Amino acid sequence: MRPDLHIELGGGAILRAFTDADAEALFSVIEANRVRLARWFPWVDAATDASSQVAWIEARAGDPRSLDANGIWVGDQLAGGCDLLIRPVDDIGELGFWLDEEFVGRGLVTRAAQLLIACGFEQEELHRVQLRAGVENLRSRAVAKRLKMREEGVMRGAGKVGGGMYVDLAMYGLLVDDWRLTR
Amino acid sequence: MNQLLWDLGDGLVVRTYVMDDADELFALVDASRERLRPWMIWEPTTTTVADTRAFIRSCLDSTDYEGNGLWRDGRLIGGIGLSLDTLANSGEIGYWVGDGHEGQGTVTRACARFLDFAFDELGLHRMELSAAVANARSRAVAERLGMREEGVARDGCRVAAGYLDLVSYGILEDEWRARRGER
Repeated sequence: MRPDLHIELGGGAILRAFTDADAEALFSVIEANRVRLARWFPWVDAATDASSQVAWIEARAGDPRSLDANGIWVGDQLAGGCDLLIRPVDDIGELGFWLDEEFVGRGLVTRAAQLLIACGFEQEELHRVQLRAGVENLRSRAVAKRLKMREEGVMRGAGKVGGGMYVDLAMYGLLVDDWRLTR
Repeated sequence: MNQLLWDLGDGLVVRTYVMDDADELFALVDASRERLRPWMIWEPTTTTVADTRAFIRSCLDSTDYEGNGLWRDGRLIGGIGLSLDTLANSGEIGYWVGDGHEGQGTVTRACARFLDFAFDELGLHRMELSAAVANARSRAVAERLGMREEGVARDGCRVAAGYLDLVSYGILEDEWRARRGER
């Protein structure tokens, strides 16, 4: 993670790297959205208390290149998260995001992802950004479409979600050359 | 450290690398370099036996099953490994063979044993395999194993000459069992 990451999203919203001091806020938003998030994400079960989030934030600090462990904030309220995990072996980034239910439908994730992707391509010289989203997670897939990512396939049963269930994941990719053309 | 030792019959053995294998492993890679270069991401970074030692060490230190040799009559003929995605309860298999050992079905046999291991012993839900779109031999292995083609990640990995499109294959536990004639 980049501890100094701080990106204005407009309308008083920002994307900034989490610190240990955010662990309580992070845990309480996850807790309030637990069932909704566990429908699609594998990491929810591991969020058992605020200290589990401290451990996660600190583990991410060991990867100075990735643009991950970031919160989307509206004023001083945590609205969600947006991450770009970088694979140094081939300069490919994996995008991920989630939102508190209250903040759904305002374009926050699309803006955060657009700016994070721009950072990835421009500052980190990534070649490709990819995203995997539950086939039935239509909101996430709509974000991928708005980001002009191309659907490349469906990986059957590739996502393990809450309650030990499996979901099919749609795979999306965006190459740096295509991204430049859309700008 | 996870050590495997499987006798597949006809003199064919899968065994986890130990440090004493470094010289033989490096020699086979070095002798096969021109053929491996178009496809293997690790070829450019395997330039001395010290690189091979570091690779074996990292395999022995990891909780995956990535560093195993394929031996025929006591001679190393290739490599095969399984990496785990514990959050998804899935695994990915990868392999290569040295010059002069292609086309004998050894990789397919070793992969089949890895699929048995993944589903029967590790309890995984899904196994994946990625191959360059143009690597017909590698794709034939996935197809012989009954894995399903699920999509193509454009520029999904980087080798010495640049990026390659990667076709991804998947097989689920129940599909492998059905293939073995179980119900």
